[in-house]
Order: sequence, then structure tokens, then C-alpha cells
Amino acid sequence: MSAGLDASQQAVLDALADILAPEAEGMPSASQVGIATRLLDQVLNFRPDLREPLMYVLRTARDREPKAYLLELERDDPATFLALGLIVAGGYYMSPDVRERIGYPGQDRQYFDADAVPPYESAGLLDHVRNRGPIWRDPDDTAVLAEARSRQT
Amino acid sequence: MTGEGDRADVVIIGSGPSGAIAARHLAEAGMSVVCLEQGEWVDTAQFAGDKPEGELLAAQKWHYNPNRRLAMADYPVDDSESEVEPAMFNGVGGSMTLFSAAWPRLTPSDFRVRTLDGVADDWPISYQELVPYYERIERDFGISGLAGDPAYPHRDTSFPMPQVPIGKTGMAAVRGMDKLGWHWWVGSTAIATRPYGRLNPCARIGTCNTGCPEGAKATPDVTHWPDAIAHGARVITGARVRQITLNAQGLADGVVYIDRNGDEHVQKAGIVICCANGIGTPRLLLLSDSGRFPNGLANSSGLVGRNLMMHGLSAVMGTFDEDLESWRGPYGQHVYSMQFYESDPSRGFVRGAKWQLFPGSSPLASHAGLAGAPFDYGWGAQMHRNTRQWFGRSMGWAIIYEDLPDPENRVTLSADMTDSDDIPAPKLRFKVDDNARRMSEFHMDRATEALEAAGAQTTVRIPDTQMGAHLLGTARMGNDPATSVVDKWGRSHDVPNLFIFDGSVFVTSGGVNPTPTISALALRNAERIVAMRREQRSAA
Repeated sequence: MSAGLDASQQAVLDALADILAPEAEGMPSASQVGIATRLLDQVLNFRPDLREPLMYVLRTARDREPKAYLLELERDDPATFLALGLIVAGGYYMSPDVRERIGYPGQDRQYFDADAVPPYESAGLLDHVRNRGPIWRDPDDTAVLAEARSRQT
Repeated sequence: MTGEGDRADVVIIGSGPSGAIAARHLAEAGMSVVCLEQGEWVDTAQFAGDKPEGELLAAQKWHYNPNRRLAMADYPVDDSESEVEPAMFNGVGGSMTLFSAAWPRLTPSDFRVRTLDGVADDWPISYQELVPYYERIERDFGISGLAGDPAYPHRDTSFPMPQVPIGKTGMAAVRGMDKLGWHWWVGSTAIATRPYGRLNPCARIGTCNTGCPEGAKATPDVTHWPDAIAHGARVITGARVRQITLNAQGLADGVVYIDRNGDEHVQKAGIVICCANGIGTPRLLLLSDSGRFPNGLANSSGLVGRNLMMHGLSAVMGTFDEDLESWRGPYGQHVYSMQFYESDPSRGFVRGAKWQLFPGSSPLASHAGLAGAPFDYGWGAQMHRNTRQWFGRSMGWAIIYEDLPDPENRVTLSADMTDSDDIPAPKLRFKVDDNARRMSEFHMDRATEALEAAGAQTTVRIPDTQMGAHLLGTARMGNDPATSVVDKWGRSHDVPNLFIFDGSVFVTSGGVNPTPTISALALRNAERIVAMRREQRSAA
């Protein structure tokens, strides 16, 4: 039992989640990475507010064809559909296996030398901007004011 | 009513940038300062952006919209008649806790909109008057950037720290801008790139908008409050102010606030400064009506709550063949463009917009299904294809376009919504006007061209991001008490010891992020209070 779900509830969630995130395009399905077990524990631990819509879905999806149920939920109750989507996608992309496959190390740290010459400077790209000169309007410049007056008359 | 604290020289409502700057400066000048903050202190360790659960928490606990966060510190905002959602954070440090850290000044023309473009009004101050304060707050907050941007007047000072790295996304974007011959510059940000005071150097985690786990983003709880407290300022957290009180002479003499236990307290003070943002401040003034001010405190002009400007935000995103590592930070503004910032009426609108580059971000943030795309585009095998196309290989130009003030865009008190203390919630009415709509369309067209020039394979326009990140204009400053709420020093025309230092005082919104200007104004106005303290009328 995970996140308080019994086996039949887990089966319902797995079936729905595998429609949303199927095995395809070289990626595992949601059930294969443990969406209804370990990942669900993590999701609900951090987002306990998602438990209520999840339990509603598990009650109302029982004995329904999963895709038809999801399309109906998306149409009739988009808030609950998005809550379910967040549980599935949120859990799915927390999976270390999924992250490795998409090349995502997480929001990791990459320190840098603030005094190193940036590549746009060494390529001279910023000089092009500098060389084009000022682009701001000076409201105290008489020519700017005259142009403004002429526009408005 | 359960308690009355010692009388303070100054009570400040709100601990965000304007409140923190005022508190620090006034306390350093020897004044006794009490700040009332309805939120709590936030420890850097609470920010989860660098952890696997970061994205889940970003969608709720650290969401910009208080109506989605639903934290104890928050009050609900009735936005049923607003085209965009409010963005704010209630806690010590205020909304800078969740801001993107972009740190641009307004331009000189932003202060002369009526003169130059024949719309809205001029500010009662100029860009040049604010320059010394812009420079000082850059040092106080620890701003990184590169001087010399030709979109601004020459500056005599460099930034306290070198600019942030622009990464692969930035390099791709600027190559596109270079092809077109369009302006771009490296972002000025409230992000340390070296150890600076109590700030750590940025580690490019990329979650600036949900709190910086590295402690590199400047927020007032780190940059200002420790110094203010060292000079005797007090911050009372969990304190929700429900009323500013007046004495018989019509001077503000303190506030009534409610603590987390629901008990009411009185804090007496000689001066009251509102720093509760462009929604919280007018809400409080409207709540503080009285026989003397039946339409709300300091509201003889009828302008309290009116002219709300929220900076509707549009964006264009592009996907690229190359791996851009586009989850890396900084998130908010590693590159920006002012190419189309100044007015050109031949475009069919007046005023302009700043663009700021943002990376494509993490998997959930670029998930089409969670963004409301139709089932077949957001889910199923298409979800995997989307991730392959977008994740790590996308970036976008966010377009901050100027809202012009409209008295019908406003904050009022909700008739049927209250916060957890039964205080009426603020109600927003906000509609993006036709000028801004045309401006947004023009800029999205140009941003699409910029991304295509950078090599984008596909582009997606996002005309309305829903986010009203900046809360401005609802107690505007001016010289005429009939057409403004406060004078050019933030002092109420009606109540001479009541001040407003937050974004409410903006006359126009400009097309850039407002926190540097809010901060510069707060410093300037706090200095004025110190300089004029002997002449300042205050409640005995």
C-alpha cells in the first residue's frame, strides 16, 4: 500500500497515468516508473492538497475506460483534471530514470568566474550595440521636445 | 483589544523593499521604528528549487498569486473582474522574495509621458533627480550588471558586481539580435556574482522566481533588515494591519493590527508609512475611512485605488535544435532589449516595452498539458515529443509593456470576500487597454522575428501570461492635491504625517520592472523625513 491507496486504487491510477504518460518515444510509462507507489508518496508528501482531487478521481474512474474518463474529466472538471495531471507529470519528472533519459540533472549548481571575459565581448557582439550609439529620448533636449510637440499638433 | 505597544517615532506597514529601506535609514538616523508584517521570516533553506520537489512547490507554496498560495500570511484578492492575476508575496522581504531579480531603471522619457507623448501625466520628479538614489540602492542591494547601455544616459558609476553569465540561451539570442542590428544588453540583476555582504554568489540554479536556495538573490530580509534591526528597528510578524487611526487634529497617530491569534493591538506612532504594495496600501486606506475621510483615508482626491497598473505581460517562446541547457539560470533577465522601448506613433500606439530573455526552464514549467493545451497536444506520446522538443532547447522573450493609467482600473473593497480576520478583501478591476493590446501585438511580432533570427525552429506566442507582476499607481504622486494622493516626497496631501513609499505612488508604469524605482523613491523619501524631522507634524 502506498500513500494510503489499496491495490485496486493503484491499478486505477496506473491505468489513467499510462494514458497521460504512456510508454512511447523511448520513454517509460508512468506506471513503469512507480507513479502509483513511490512517486505518489513523494508527490503527496509535498502537495497534500492534491490528495482530495486524487481520491475523487479514484472513486469516479473505477470501472471506467481510462481514456474516455480522462477526456470527460478534462471537459467537465478541468481543475480536477489538471490536479491529476500535476500528480502524474510532477511525479513522472521527479523519477531519476526519467530525468536521466531526458538529460535533466535537476536545478543543479554551476559556479562561474564573474571576472572571466564573456564570450559576447570576445566576439565583439556588444561593440556593435555600443557603436550604434544612444537610443534613449532626452526629455530636456529641445529637438526631442519640438518633435514631440509637432506629433501632438 | 488586548495590547498597546510603546509609541514609536515611525510605524511602517509592510517589510518589502520600500519598508525595509525606510526602516533601515530611519533607524540609522536614530528614530524608533516598528514595522508590521503580516507574513513571517523566510529562511533560505525553505526554498526548494534545487530539490526534486521544487517544481511541485513552485506551483503552490511559492506561487506568485496569493489566491493559489493560500498561505496563512496571505489575504485573498477578488480578481474576478481583472484580466490578469495579482503577483505578490507576504513575508519579511516582501514580493522581492519571489521576483525575478531584474533591476532596470526607468528611462528619462518615462518621467515625461504627457510632455513627450500627450497621454497620462508627467511625474513631479525627473530621472536625474533619482539617479543618486538609483546608484545608492544598487550598492545597498548588491546589483550586478554592465555599465554603458546606450538605452540609458551615461552613468558615472559601474555596477557593484560584474554581470551574470548569459549562458547558451543568451548567446543564441544575442546572435539573433546582432543579425537584425537590434539593441540588446546584458541584464542588470539583483543577483550577486561575487560574495557581497550577506549574499552568496549565484550558482545558476535558475529558480529566482520561487526563492533562491543559494542565497544569491538580494532580498530585503538579507540586505536590509539585519542592519535596521541592529539600529533598533523592530519587525513584528504575523501582524495584519486593519486600520490607520487619526487623532482629533486629523493626524495619523498609529494603527490597529491583528495578530495570528486574532487579538487586536494598537501601535501608536508619530509617523505612519504605508509600504504594503499597490493593492495592500489602497485597501488599507479604504478600510481606514472615518467621519473626516468618509471615502477612505487620504482620499479627498478620490484617487485612492484608482489608476491601477499591473504590467500585463506577453511573451514569445522558441525552440531550437541545439542543446541550450535552458533550465539553467539566472531566470529573469540575463539579456534584455530596449530596441522598441521609446515611443514611435507610426507603430499605431504610444509608449513601449522592454524585453527580457528567459530560459525555457524545467520540465513541468514547459509542459503543454499543464498549461491547458488540448489533450492530444499535451498528453500521451505527444507529451514525450514535447519534452524532447522544448526541454533544454527553448527560451523566450518576455515583453513588459507599459500600461497607461486608467481611473476605471482600480482597487476597491470586496462586498462579499474577506480574509481570515474577516477584513474585506481587495477587489481588482483591471482591463488591458487597446493601446497596450496593439503594443503587445507589435512586440510579439518583433520578438518572433528575433527568435527566428536566432535560429528558432518553432515559435509560440503567449499574448496573455495572466501574470500582473507589478502593482502600481493606486495612490499616485503629484503636486496638485486634486489630482494626486501624495506629494513628490510620498507624503499624503490630506494627512501630513502619513506617507506612502510603495509602487502605489507611480504616476505612470513605464515598461520596465519597477522595484529599482520603488527602492530609489523610498530611500529619497526616507532621507527627506530625516532632513525635515524638526518641521514634521506628528501626533503627540
